[in-house]
Amino acid sequence: MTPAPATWIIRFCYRLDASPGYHRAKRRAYDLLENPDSRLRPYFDVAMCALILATVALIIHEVRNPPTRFTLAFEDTVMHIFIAEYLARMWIWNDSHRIILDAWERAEFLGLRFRLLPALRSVLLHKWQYASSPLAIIDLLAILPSYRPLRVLRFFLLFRVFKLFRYTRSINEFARVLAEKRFELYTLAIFIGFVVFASATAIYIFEAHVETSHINTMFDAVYWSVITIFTVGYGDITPKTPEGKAVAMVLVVAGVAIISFSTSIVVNAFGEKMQLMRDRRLFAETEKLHDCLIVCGYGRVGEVVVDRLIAQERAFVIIDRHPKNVARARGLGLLAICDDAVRAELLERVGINRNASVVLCITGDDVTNLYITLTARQMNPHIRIVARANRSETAKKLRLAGADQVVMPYEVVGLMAAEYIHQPVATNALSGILSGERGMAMDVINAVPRSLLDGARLTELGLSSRRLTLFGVLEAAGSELRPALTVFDVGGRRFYFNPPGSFTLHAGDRLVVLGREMAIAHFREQVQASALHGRAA
Amino acid sequence: MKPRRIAIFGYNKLGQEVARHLCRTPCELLIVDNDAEALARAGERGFDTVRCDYTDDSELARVGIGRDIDLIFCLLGDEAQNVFLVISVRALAPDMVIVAATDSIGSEQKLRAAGADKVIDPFAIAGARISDLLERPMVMDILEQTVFGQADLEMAEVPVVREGGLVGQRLSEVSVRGACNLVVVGLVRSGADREVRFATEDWHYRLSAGDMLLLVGPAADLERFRAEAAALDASRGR
Repeated sequence: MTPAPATWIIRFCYRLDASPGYHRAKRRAYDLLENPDSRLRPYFDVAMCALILATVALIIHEVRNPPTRFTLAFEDTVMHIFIAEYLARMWIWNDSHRIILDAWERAEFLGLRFRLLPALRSVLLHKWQYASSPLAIIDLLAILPSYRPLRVLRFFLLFRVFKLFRYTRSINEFARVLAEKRFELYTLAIFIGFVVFASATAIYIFEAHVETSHINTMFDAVYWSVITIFTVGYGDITPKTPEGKAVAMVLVVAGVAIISFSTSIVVNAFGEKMQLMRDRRLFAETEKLHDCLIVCGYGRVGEVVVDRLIAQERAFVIIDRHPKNVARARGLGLLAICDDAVRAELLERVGINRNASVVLCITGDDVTNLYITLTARQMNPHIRIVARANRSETAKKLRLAGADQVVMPYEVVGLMAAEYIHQPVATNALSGILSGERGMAMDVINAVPRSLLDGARLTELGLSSRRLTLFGVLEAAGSELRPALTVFDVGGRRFYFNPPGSFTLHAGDRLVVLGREMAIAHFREQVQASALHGRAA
Repeated sequence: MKPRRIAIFGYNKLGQEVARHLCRTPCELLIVDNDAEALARAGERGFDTVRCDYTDDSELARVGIGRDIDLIFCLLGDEAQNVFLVISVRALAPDMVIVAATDSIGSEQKLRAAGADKVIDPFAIAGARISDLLERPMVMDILEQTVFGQADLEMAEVPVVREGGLVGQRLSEVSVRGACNLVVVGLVRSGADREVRFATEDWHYRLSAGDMLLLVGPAADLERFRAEAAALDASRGR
């Protein structure tokens, strides 16, 4: 039998777990405080930074001026905000009720007696994990000194400045780079510690008993060593005996060596990590893109595609393994990553499962294209993949690997060449229309339900006065056959080529029209508007 | 009409594709290359082949440039070689139709300056194709399966002849002729800059001899229309 307090707690945990409001609130707090993708977080960060700077300014002001009622109230408010933030961060750190429930369910499942105390201990342990993380400690230290009885801790208020770190990405990166050189920095610190200790001991032994010397305690000796080894050398304490001077000389030489060594460690760390940091920045930027395209391969074809993507103002990221191509793309201010797109984690990082809608596999190498296609398809079964095949045999393989569309540059040219030798003008015109030259385009207009197209006969539309040529109509799925001269099958639906004037449109039909882009856009607008306002428009 | 004689210079990936498509059309093909191995491969496919060093004018003449070849494709792998070939051929045969392939933007102008009539940029076309697929997938799908595909929808150009039935008709009248199910896409006016004018811009234009109509439609209808256009128009006497 489970004791009564435990049943209450478990019941309460279940209620929390089932409550959508609780989850929503937690989610919102997460968005505000931690979620790197959230839109709200940058505002929150800036506001917190401003608060911190304001309180620090206040502290500086209070050093020489007595606090007024206003400043005290302000400080109290800020403190409460900090406390709320600290608790909120602790709250969203993990799901405590889940820990209890997991323990309870495990006990139920195994037929064991549920014991509340170990579960609670695990809850506290997890929260302690948060409380002992460096950033949480800084947060706490920033709050503590605000309590009036702890005025001694005023000095810790400076930790509020450290708190700024929390809100700035670049400083975190800086710290991470240095952290990777931990080994070298530790070695250096141990070396400095050893030299300081040795020299301090030596100078203390040599000079502590000398009348004229300023070194009276071991602390003086350590102070002098540190001031000397870092080449500051105030000169308030100077060695008086020849032995002391010898120690000073060794110390100065060691100091120069240490400074140059530490400089080179830091510079090296950044030199090594520069590319990585830049890439990280790139990935951070790709996270902001919505509905973006992943362009694998920035060769000749990629260049043409990208040019037109820019014209359409689409968001995209380029991946190419050749540094030259990447440099060219970056020169144009494009988002480009120099890496092999066949790597699954790279595709993951540029958002194949997040914000990308299309993958273009258009490198010059069929094998690479096939591999990228397969990888991308496995990672996301719904994403659209357009691939390039240089050999016609590859096209079938690409489709098998999961490409939605395959484009064959050489095949296209062969086709065009065959058309061209018989009908040069027509071929030019068609390719011109397809590529949107001189503003001419072929495009689709949907027959929206209840719009002027729904149920209309073609003659009523006055397409020629709208400066549009009707190419054909693609029927709505599942409609019955309508009288027309030429009907084709396009993807299981009927396509009526150049239907007669008596042809009646149904909702869901798609008109394929030819005309100036602006004429098409205008007509489409009218169709949309008429659907909204009834057929009056 | 005697079939056109076409020479393809360079039997590489591109040359293979072009040859593969051209051999379905009524024309005589000749594959020219300097590489015996490539020629052997072309021979296996049943093409006529000639080995020729294109830098030598006499060899070009031996192939038939300036005599019985009407059109050449310059599909050599190297840009400089292509330009050289175009210039050599242009010098030998001023009336030859020269189609060249390129793979960079700058060389298109060079090839044109050298005398190529049409420059095809496979990568630019493929790039445009891909971006069309993204922008207008449905249109591309329809065209893919009708005009470019196996279905018998074709694009054709029909000249307006002096004695034919089309002269004097408005463009809008052409498009509503019931018997043939055709869409008038555009026309090229006689004498003018040979620029394509799209039908939507020019509905009221009256056709005159020497114009060229661009039509899309089923092959049978196009054939019928072509015959009608060429025939003397009986109704004009009325």
